[in-house]
Amino acid sequence: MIRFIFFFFLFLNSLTSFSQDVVHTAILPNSMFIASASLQRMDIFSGFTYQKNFKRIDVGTSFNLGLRSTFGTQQVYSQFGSYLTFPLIQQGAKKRDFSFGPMLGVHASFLNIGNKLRHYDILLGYSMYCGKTKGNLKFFHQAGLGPFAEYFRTSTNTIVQSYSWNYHLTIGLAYAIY
Amino acid sequence: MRYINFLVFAMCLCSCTKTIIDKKTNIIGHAAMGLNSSSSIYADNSMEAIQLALSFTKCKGIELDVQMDNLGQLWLYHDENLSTKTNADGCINTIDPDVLSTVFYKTIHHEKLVKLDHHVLELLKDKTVFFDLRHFNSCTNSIIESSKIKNAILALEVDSLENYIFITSNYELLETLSEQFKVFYSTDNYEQGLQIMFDYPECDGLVIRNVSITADEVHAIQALNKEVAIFEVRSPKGTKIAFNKAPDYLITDELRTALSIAH
Repeated sequence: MIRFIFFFFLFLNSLTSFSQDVVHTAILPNSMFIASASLQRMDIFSGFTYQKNFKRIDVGTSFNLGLRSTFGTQQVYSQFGSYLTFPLIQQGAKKRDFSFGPMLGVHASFLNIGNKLRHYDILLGYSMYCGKTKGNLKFFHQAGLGPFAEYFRTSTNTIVQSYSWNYHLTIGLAYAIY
Repeated sequence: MRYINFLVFAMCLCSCTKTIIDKKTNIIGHAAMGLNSSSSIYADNSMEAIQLALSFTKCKGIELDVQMDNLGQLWLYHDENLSTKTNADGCINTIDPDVLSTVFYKTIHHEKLVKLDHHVLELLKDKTVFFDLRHFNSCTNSIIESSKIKNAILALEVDSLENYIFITSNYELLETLSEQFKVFYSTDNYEQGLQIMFDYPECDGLVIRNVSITADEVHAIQALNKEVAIFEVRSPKGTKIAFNKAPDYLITDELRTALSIAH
Protein backbone atom coordinates (compact mmCIF):
# COMPACT_ATOMS: atom_id res chain seq x y z
CA MET A 1 0.00 0.00 0.00
CA ILE A 2 2.80 2.40 0.95
CA ARG A 3 4.54 1.48 -2.31
CA PHE A 4 1.35 2.31 -4.22
CA ILE A 5 1.01 5.70 -2.49
CA PHE A 6 4.67 6.47 -3.20
CA PHE A 7 4.29 5.71 -6.91
CA PHE A 8 1.00 7.62 -7.07
CA PHE A 9 2.63 10.79 -5.74
CA LEU A 10 5.64 10.19 -7.93
CA PHE A 11 3.25 10.08 -10.89
CA LEU A 12 1.54 13.28 -9.75
CA ASN A 13 4.89 14.96 -9.28
CA SER A 14 5.96 14.01 -12.78
CA LEU A 15 2.82 15.65 -14.11
CA THR A 16 3.24 18.87 -12.19
CA SER A 17 7.01 19.37 -12.38
CA PHE A 18 8.11 20.71 -15.72
CA SER A 19 11.49 22.14 -14.75
CA GLN A 20 12.96 22.12 -18.24
CA ASP A 21 9.75 22.66 -20.18
CA VAL A 22 8.19 25.86 -21.30
CA VAL A 23 5.44 26.30 -18.77
CA HIS A 24 2.38 28.28 -19.64
CA THR A 25 -1.00 28.83 -18.04
CA ALA A 26 -3.37 26.20 -19.33
CA ILE A 27 -6.09 27.32 -21.68
CA LEU A 28 -9.06 25.36 -20.44
CA PRO A 29 -12.16 24.53 -22.43
CA ASN A 30 -15.45 26.16 -21.60
CA SER A 31 -17.32 22.89 -21.95
CA MET A 32 -16.75 19.32 -23.15
CA PHE A 33 -18.78 16.51 -24.68
CA ILE A 34 -17.33 13.19 -23.54
CA ALA A 35 -17.86 9.69 -24.89
CA SER A 36 -16.75 7.26 -22.21
CA ALA A 37 -16.68 3.70 -20.92
CA SER A 38 -16.84 3.00 -17.21
CA LEU A 39 -16.01 -0.19 -15.36
CA GLN A 40 -18.28 -0.53 -12.35
CA ARG A 41 -19.23 -3.25 -9.90
CA MET A 42 -22.52 -4.13 -11.58
CA ASP A 43 -21.68 -3.68 -15.25
CA ILE A 44 -19.53 -1.93 -17.83
CA PHE A 45 -21.30 1.30 -18.66
CA SER A 46 -20.86 3.37 -21.78
CA GLY A 47 -22.42 6.67 -22.73
CA PHE A 48 -22.10 10.42 -22.97
CA THR A 49 -21.22 13.19 -20.54
CA TYR A 50 -21.52 16.94 -20.81
CA GLN A 51 -19.08 18.91 -18.66
CA LYS A 52 -19.24 22.66 -18.12
CA ASN A 53 -16.54 24.78 -16.53
CA PHE A 54 -17.55 27.40 -13.93
CA LYS A 55 -14.33 29.21 -12.91
CA ARG A 56 -13.11 26.97 -10.04
CA ILE A 57 -15.44 24.09 -10.58
CA ASP A 58 -16.38 21.66 -13.37
CA VAL A 59 -19.93 20.31 -13.41
CA GLY A 60 -20.83 17.21 -15.42
CA THR A 61 -24.00 15.27 -16.20
CA SER A 62 -23.93 11.85 -17.79
CA PHE A 63 -26.15 9.22 -19.32
CA ASN A 64 -24.85 5.66 -19.66
CA LEU A 65 -26.07 2.21 -20.58
CA GLY A 66 -24.87 -1.01 -18.92
CA LEU A 67 -23.39 -2.92 -21.85
CA ARG A 68 -23.62 -6.45 -20.41
CA SER A 69 -27.26 -6.04 -19.40
CA THR A 70 -28.49 -3.91 -22.28
CA PHE A 71 -26.78 -5.77 -25.10
CA GLY A 72 -25.94 -9.11 -23.43
CA THR A 73 -29.31 -9.79 -21.83
CA GLN A 74 -31.52 -7.35 -23.77
CA GLN A 75 -32.71 -5.53 -20.65
CA VAL A 76 -32.03 -1.80 -20.66
CA TYR A 77 -29.79 -0.86 -17.72
CA SER A 78 -29.70 2.93 -17.73
CA GLN A 79 -27.61 5.16 -15.52
CA PHE A 80 -27.92 8.87 -14.87
CA GLY A 81 -25.19 10.72 -13.07
CA SER A 82 -23.87 14.08 -12.07
CA TYR A 83 -20.54 15.17 -10.66
CA LEU A 84 -18.54 18.13 -9.45
CA THR A 85 -14.80 18.41 -10.03
CA PHE A 86 -12.55 20.90 -8.26
CA PRO A 87 -9.51 21.28 -10.55
CA LEU A 88 -6.52 21.76 -8.26
CA ILE A 89 -3.87 21.35 -10.94
CA GLN A 90 -4.37 23.19 -14.21
CA GLN A 91 -1.12 23.43 -16.02
CA GLY A 92 0.23 23.69 -19.50
CA ALA A 93 3.59 22.75 -20.96
CA LYS A 94 4.96 21.90 -24.41
CA LYS A 95 1.69 22.98 -25.99
CA ARG A 96 -0.23 20.52 -23.86
CA ASP A 97 -2.75 21.27 -21.14
CA PHE A 98 -3.57 19.20 -18.13
CA SER A 99 -6.30 19.38 -15.49
CA PHE A 100 -6.60 17.28 -12.37
CA GLY A 101 -8.74 17.47 -9.23
CA PRO A 102 -10.94 15.68 -6.73
CA MET A 103 -14.40 14.68 -7.86
CA LEU A 104 -17.71 14.11 -6.08
CA GLY A 105 -20.45 12.32 -8.00
CA VAL A 106 -23.87 10.71 -7.63
CA HIS A 107 -25.41 8.08 -9.90
CA ALA A 108 -28.79 6.39 -10.21
CA SER A 109 -29.26 3.22 -12.28
CA PHE A 110 -32.37 1.30 -13.25
CA LEU A 111 -32.82 -2.31 -14.37
CA ASN A 112 -35.93 -4.47 -14.72
CA ILE A 113 -35.36 -8.21 -14.21
CA GLY A 114 -38.86 -9.07 -13.05
CA ASN A 115 -38.13 -6.95 -10.01
CA LYS A 116 -37.42 -3.32 -10.83
CA LEU A 117 -33.95 -2.70 -9.42
CA ARG A 118 -32.79 0.79 -8.47
CA HIS A 119 -29.12 1.36 -7.76
CA TYR A 120 -27.73 4.53 -6.21
CA ASP A 121 -24.15 5.45 -5.45
CA ILE A 122 -22.14 8.38 -4.18
CA LEU A 123 -18.63 8.61 -5.50
CA LEU A 124 -15.50 10.27 -4.21
CA GLY A 125 -12.46 10.20 -6.44
CA TYR A 126 -10.53 12.21 -8.97
CA SER A 127 -11.08 13.50 -12.46
CA MET A 128 -8.54 14.54 -15.05
CA TYR A 129 -8.20 15.39 -18.70
CA CYS A 130 -5.30 16.29 -20.90
CA GLY A 131 -4.64 17.17 -24.52
CA LYS A 132 -3.19 19.71 -26.90
CA THR A 133 -3.50 23.36 -25.95
CA LYS A 134 -6.65 24.67 -27.64
CA GLY A 135 -7.05 21.23 -29.18
CA ASN A 136 -10.56 19.88 -29.54
CA LEU A 137 -9.82 16.30 -28.55
CA LYS A 138 -8.80 15.47 -24.98
CA PHE A 139 -8.16 12.27 -23.09
CA PHE A 140 -10.57 12.05 -20.15
CA HIS A 141 -10.27 9.88 -17.05
CA GLN A 142 -12.16 9.54 -13.78
CA ALA A 143 -11.93 7.08 -10.90
CA GLY A 144 -13.79 6.88 -7.65
CA LEU A 145 -15.08 4.79 -4.80
CA GLY A 146 -18.16 5.16 -2.65
CA PRO A 147 -21.23 3.68 -0.96
CA PHE A 148 -23.74 1.80 -3.09
CA ALA A 149 -27.39 0.94 -2.44
CA GLU A 150 -29.75 -1.46 -4.19
CA TYR A 151 -33.53 -1.22 -3.78
CA PHE A 152 -36.34 -3.30 -5.22
CA ARG A 153 -39.87 -4.38 -4.41
CA THR A 154 -40.66 -8.09 -4.00
CA SER A 155 -43.78 -9.92 -5.15
CA THR A 156 -45.18 -9.48 -1.61
CA ASN A 157 -44.71 -5.72 -1.99
CA THR A 158 -41.95 -5.43 0.59
CA ILE A 159 -38.94 -3.28 -0.27
CA VAL A 160 -35.55 -4.99 -0.18
CA GLN A 161 -32.54 -2.78 0.52
CA SER A 162 -28.92 -3.82 0.42
CA TYR A 163 -25.85 -1.69 0.86
CA SER A 164 -22.29 -2.14 -0.26
CA TRP A 165 -19.47 -0.32 -2.05
CA ASN A 166 -19.10 0.58 -5.68
CA TYR A 167 -16.20 1.71 -7.82
CA HIS A 168 -16.03 3.59 -11.11
CA LEU A 169 -13.07 3.50 -13.45
CA THR A 170 -13.82 5.68 -16.45
CA ILE A 171 -11.87 6.52 -19.57
CA GLY A 172 -13.14 8.55 -22.44
CA LEU A 173 -12.55 10.89 -25.32
CA ALA A 174 -13.67 14.48 -24.89
CA TYR A 175 -14.56 17.06 -27.52
CA ALA A 176 -13.62 20.44 -26.06
CA ILE A 177 -15.33 23.74 -26.85
CA TYR A 178 -13.44 26.99 -26.02
CA MET B 1 -29.06 7.53 -49.56
CA ARG B 2 -29.07 8.76 -45.97
CA TYR B 3 -32.52 7.26 -45.44
CA ILE B 4 -31.44 3.95 -46.92
CA ASN B 5 -28.49 3.82 -44.53
CA PHE B 6 -30.79 4.59 -41.63
CA LEU B 7 -33.22 1.89 -42.78
CA VAL B 8 -30.43 -0.71 -43.04
CA PHE B 9 -29.17 0.28 -39.60
CA ALA B 10 -32.69 0.00 -38.12
CA MET B 11 -33.17 -3.41 -39.77
CA CYS B 12 -29.87 -4.60 -38.30
CA LEU B 13 -31.04 -3.51 -34.87
CA CYS B 14 -34.40 -5.24 -35.26
CA SER B 15 -32.78 -8.43 -36.51
CA CYS B 16 -31.18 -9.04 -33.11
CA THR B 17 -33.26 -11.95 -31.83
CA LYS B 18 -34.03 -12.54 -28.20
CA THR B 19 -32.92 -15.83 -26.66
CA ILE B 20 -35.83 -18.25 -26.42
CA ILE B 21 -35.96 -19.38 -22.82
CA ASP B 22 -37.36 -22.76 -21.94
CA LYS B 23 -39.87 -21.84 -19.24
CA LYS B 24 -39.29 -25.08 -17.39
CA THR B 25 -35.69 -24.15 -16.57
CA ASN B 26 -35.56 -23.09 -12.94
CA ILE B 27 -33.06 -20.36 -12.03
CA ILE B 28 -31.02 -21.21 -8.95
CA GLY B 29 -28.50 -18.91 -7.26
CA HIS B 30 -25.10 -20.56 -6.79
CA ALA B 31 -24.11 -20.20 -3.12
CA ALA B 32 -27.17 -17.90 -2.92
CA MET B 33 -26.13 -14.78 -4.90
CA GLY B 34 -23.19 -16.29 -6.80
CA LEU B 35 -19.70 -17.51 -6.07
CA ASN B 36 -16.80 -15.06 -6.45
CA SER B 37 -19.11 -12.61 -8.15
CA SER B 38 -18.40 -8.89 -7.86
CA SER B 39 -22.11 -8.09 -8.13
CA SER B 40 -23.20 -10.48 -5.37
CA ILE B 41 -22.93 -7.76 -2.63
CA TYR B 42 -22.87 -10.32 0.21
CA ALA B 43 -20.53 -13.25 0.96
CA ASP B 44 -21.51 -16.58 -0.58
CA ASN B 45 -23.62 -18.90 1.63
CA SER B 46 -24.31 -16.06 4.09
CA MET B 47 -27.76 -15.37 5.54
CA GLU B 48 -27.80 -11.93 3.93
CA ALA B 49 -27.06 -13.44 0.50
CA ILE B 50 -29.76 -16.10 0.98
CA GLN B 51 -32.39 -13.52 1.92
CA LEU B 52 -31.43 -11.29 -1.02
CA ALA B 53 -31.49 -14.16 -3.54
CA LEU B 54 -34.88 -15.40 -2.35
CA SER B 55 -36.30 -11.87 -2.68
CA PHE B 56 -36.04 -11.98 -6.47
CA THR B 57 -39.42 -12.99 -7.83
CA LYS B 58 -38.23 -15.37 -10.54
CA CYS B 59 -35.45 -17.00 -8.54
CA LYS B 60 -36.77 -20.52 -7.91
CA GLY B 61 -34.20 -21.38 -5.29
CA ILE B 62 -30.60 -21.48 -4.22
CA GLU B 63 -27.65 -23.83 -3.96
CA LEU B 64 -25.80 -23.98 -0.64
CA ASP B 65 -22.55 -25.68 0.37
CA VAL B 66 -22.87 -27.82 3.48
CA GLN B 67 -20.08 -29.01 5.81
CA MET B 68 -20.34 -30.91 9.10
CA ASP B 69 -18.54 -29.84 12.29
CA ASN B 70 -16.89 -32.16 14.83
CA LEU B 71 -20.17 -32.61 16.74
CA GLY B 72 -22.26 -33.45 13.70
CA GLN B 73 -23.93 -30.10 13.11
CA LEU B 74 -24.19 -28.63 9.61
CA TRP B 75 -22.73 -25.31 8.49
CA LEU B 76 -22.87 -23.40 5.21
CA TYR B 77 -19.41 -22.78 3.77
CA HIS B 78 -17.86 -23.34 0.35
CA ASP B 79 -14.07 -23.56 0.68
CA GLU B 80 -12.09 -26.40 2.24
CA ASN B 81 -10.34 -24.16 4.77
CA LEU B 82 -11.92 -21.37 6.80
CA SER B 83 -8.82 -19.18 6.44
CA THR B 84 -9.53 -18.37 2.77
CA LYS B 85 -12.70 -16.39 3.47
CA THR B 86 -13.18 -15.98 7.21
CA ASN B 87 -11.38 -14.78 10.34
CA ALA B 88 -10.81 -18.42 11.46
CA ASP B 89 -8.38 -21.13 10.41
CA GLY B 90 -8.84 -24.89 9.86
CA CYS B 91 -11.50 -27.21 8.48
CA ILE B 92 -15.09 -27.07 9.72
CA ASN B 93 -15.09 -30.83 10.30
CA THR B 94 -12.43 -30.50 13.01
CA ILE B 95 -13.84 -27.43 14.79
CA ASP B 96 -16.27 -27.15 17.67
CA PRO B 97 -19.68 -25.50 16.92
CA ASP B 98 -19.14 -22.96 19.73
CA VAL B 99 -16.06 -21.71 17.90
CA LEU B 100 -17.81 -21.75 14.52
CA SER B 101 -20.65 -19.61 15.86
CA THR B 102 -18.14 -16.76 16.35
CA VAL B 103 -16.69 -17.01 12.82
CA PHE B 104 -17.40 -14.26 10.32
CA TYR B 105 -16.42 -13.54 6.70
CA LYS B 106 -13.53 -11.20 5.82
CA THR B 107 -15.87 -8.97 3.83
CA ILE B 108 -17.13 -5.43 4.32
CA HIS B 109 -20.33 -6.65 5.96
CA HIS B 110 -18.60 -9.27 8.17
CA GLU B 111 -21.42 -11.78 7.60
CA LYS B 112 -21.56 -14.57 10.16
CA LEU B 113 -20.99 -18.21 9.25
CA VAL B 114 -24.44 -19.77 8.96
CA LYS B 115 -25.47 -22.90 10.85
CA LEU B 116 -28.01 -24.98 8.95
CA ASP B 117 -30.88 -25.32 11.40
CA HIS B 118 -34.67 -25.08 11.40
CA HIS B 119 -34.52 -21.25 11.36
CA VAL B 120 -32.69 -21.33 8.04
CA LEU B 121 -34.92 -24.11 6.71
CA GLU B 122 -38.00 -22.07 7.63
CA LEU B 123 -36.63 -19.31 5.38
CA LEU B 124 -36.05 -21.81 2.59
CA LYS B 125 -39.45 -23.50 2.60
CA ASP B 126 -41.39 -23.32 -0.68
CA LYS B 127 -38.11 -22.83 -2.55
CA THR B 128 -35.96 -25.39 -4.34
CA VAL B 129 -32.73 -25.79 -2.40
CA PHE B 130 -29.66 -27.71 -3.51
CA PHE B 131 -27.41 -28.76 -0.64
CA ASP B 132 -23.91 -29.51 -1.94
CA LEU B 133 -22.58 -31.95 0.67
CA ARG B 134 -18.83 -31.76 1.34
CA HIS B 135 -17.72 -35.25 2.36
CA PHE B 136 -13.94 -34.66 2.40
CA ASN B 137 -11.87 -33.18 5.23
CA SER B 138 -8.75 -31.70 3.63
CA CYS B 139 -7.12 -31.00 7.03
CA THR B 140 -7.01 -34.68 7.94
CA ASN B 141 -7.18 -36.04 4.36
CA SER B 142 -10.10 -38.21 5.35
CA ILE B 143 -13.56 -38.94 4.01
CA ILE B 144 -16.42 -38.24 6.40
CA GLU B 145 -18.66 -41.24 7.08
CA SER B 146 -21.84 -41.16 5.02
CA SER B 147 -23.98 -42.35 7.95
CA LYS B 148 -22.84 -39.36 10.02
CA ILE B 149 -23.86 -36.93 7.28
CA LYS B 150 -27.22 -38.70 6.92
CA ASN B 151 -27.82 -38.53 10.70
CA ALA B 152 -26.95 -34.81 10.67
CA ILE B 153 -29.55 -34.22 7.95
CA LEU B 154 -32.16 -36.31 9.81
CA ALA B 155 -31.45 -34.33 12.98
CA LEU B 156 -32.75 -31.22 11.20
CA GLU B 157 -36.25 -32.73 11.58
CA VAL B 158 -37.56 -31.27 8.36
CA ASP B 159 -41.31 -31.63 7.79
CA SER B 160 -41.03 -32.07 4.06
CA LEU B 161 -37.96 -32.88 2.00
CA GLU B 162 -39.68 -32.49 -1.35
CA ASN B 163 -38.00 -29.19 -2.21
CA TYR B 164 -34.54 -30.21 -1.04
CA ILE B 165 -32.00 -31.79 -3.36
CA PHE B 166 -28.70 -33.14 -2.06
CA ILE B 167 -25.63 -33.04 -4.29
CA THR B 168 -22.70 -35.42 -3.90
CA SER B 169 -19.84 -36.85 -5.92
CA ASN B 170 -19.32 -39.74 -3.48
CA TYR B 171 -20.84 -43.12 -4.42
CA GLU B 172 -21.28 -44.26 -0.82
CA LEU B 173 -23.03 -41.04 0.18
CA LEU B 174 -25.18 -41.29 -2.95
CA GLU B 175 -26.29 -44.80 -1.96
CA THR B 176 -26.86 -43.86 1.68
CA LEU B 177 -28.90 -40.73 1.02
CA SER B 178 -30.89 -41.81 -2.02
CA GLU B 179 -32.94 -44.21 0.12
CA GLN B 180 -34.71 -41.25 1.73
CA PHE B 181 -33.75 -38.09 -0.06
CA LYS B 182 -33.65 -36.61 -3.55
CA VAL B 183 -29.99 -36.88 -4.60
CA PHE B 184 -28.12 -35.55 -7.65
CA TYR B 185 -24.69 -36.80 -8.67
CA SER B 186 -22.06 -34.15 -9.38
CA THR B 187 -19.41 -34.72 -12.05
CA ASP B 188 -17.31 -32.94 -14.67
CA ASN B 189 -17.58 -35.87 -17.07
CA TYR B 190 -20.79 -36.53 -19.01
CA GLU B 191 -20.01 -40.21 -19.77
CA GLN B 192 -19.36 -40.90 -16.10
CA GLY B 193 -22.58 -39.10 -15.17
CA LEU B 194 -24.58 -41.10 -17.70
CA GLN B 195 -23.10 -44.34 -16.35
CA ILE B 196 -24.07 -43.33 -12.81
CA MET B 197 -27.66 -42.80 -13.97
CA PHE B 198 -27.70 -46.46 -15.13
CA ASP B 199 -25.74 -47.88 -12.17
CA TYR B 200 -27.72 -46.00 -9.52
CA PRO B 201 -31.34 -45.83 -10.72
CA GLU B 202 -32.32 -44.24 -7.40
CA CYS B 203 -30.17 -41.19 -8.27
CA ASP B 204 -32.52 -38.38 -9.31
CA GLY B 205 -30.30 -36.33 -11.54
CA LEU B 206 -26.99 -34.90 -12.62
CA VAL B 207 -25.17 -31.69 -11.70
CA ILE B 208 -22.61 -30.75 -14.34
CA ARG B 209 -20.63 -27.75 -15.61
CA ASN B 210 -22.03 -25.83 -18.57
CA VAL B 211 -18.95 -26.56 -20.69
CA SER B 212 -19.09 -30.31 -19.95
CA ILE B 213 -22.49 -31.05 -21.50
CA THR B 214 -24.26 -30.38 -24.80
CA ALA B 215 -27.96 -29.83 -25.47
CA ASP B 216 -28.32 -33.37 -26.89
CA GLU B 217 -26.66 -34.84 -23.80
CA VAL B 218 -29.04 -32.89 -21.55
CA HIS B 219 -31.97 -34.37 -23.48
CA ALA B 220 -30.44 -37.86 -23.24
CA ILE B 221 -30.32 -37.63 -19.43
CA GLN B 222 -33.86 -36.20 -19.32
CA ALA B 223 -35.04 -39.10 -21.51
CA LEU B 224 -34.04 -41.40 -18.63
CA ASN B 225 -36.52 -39.53 -16.40
CA LYS B 226 -33.64 -37.83 -14.62
CA GLU B 227 -33.16 -34.11 -14.09
CA VAL B 228 -30.17 -32.00 -15.12
CA ALA B 229 -28.71 -29.02 -13.28
CA ILE B 230 -26.08 -26.95 -15.11
CA PHE B 231 -23.64 -24.81 -13.13
CA GLU B 232 -20.68 -22.48 -13.68
CA VAL B 233 -22.74 -20.02 -15.62
CA ARG B 234 -21.64 -16.42 -15.37
CA SER B 235 -21.49 -14.30 -18.55
CA PRO B 236 -24.58 -13.27 -20.54
CA LYS B 237 -23.35 -15.38 -23.49
CA GLY B 238 -22.67 -18.43 -21.31
CA THR B 239 -26.05 -18.03 -19.62
CA LYS B 240 -27.84 -17.93 -22.98
CA ILE B 241 -25.98 -21.04 -24.14
CA ALA B 242 -26.95 -22.81 -20.92
CA PHE B 243 -30.62 -21.75 -21.27
CA ASN B 244 -30.69 -23.06 -24.84
CA LYS B 245 -29.70 -26.52 -23.56
CA ALA B 246 -33.02 -26.51 -21.66
CA PRO B 247 -31.80 -28.02 -18.39
CA ASP B 248 -34.19 -28.46 -15.47
CA TYR B 249 -32.09 -26.16 -13.29
CA LEU B 250 -29.60 -23.41 -14.06
CA ILE B 251 -27.28 -22.79 -11.10
CA THR B 252 -25.92 -19.34 -11.88
CA ASP B 253 -23.13 -17.21 -10.42
CA GLU B 254 -24.72 -14.05 -11.82
CA LEU B 255 -28.29 -14.21 -10.63
CA ARG B 256 -29.26 -10.79 -11.98
CA THR B 257 -27.91 -11.70 -15.44
CA ALA B 258 -29.87 -14.98 -15.57
CA LEU B 259 -33.06 -13.30 -14.33
CA SER B 260 -32.53 -10.52 -16.85
CA ILE B 261 -32.33 -12.99 -19.74
CA ALA B 262 -35.32 -14.97 -18.46
CA HIS B 263 -37.33 -11.76 -18.13
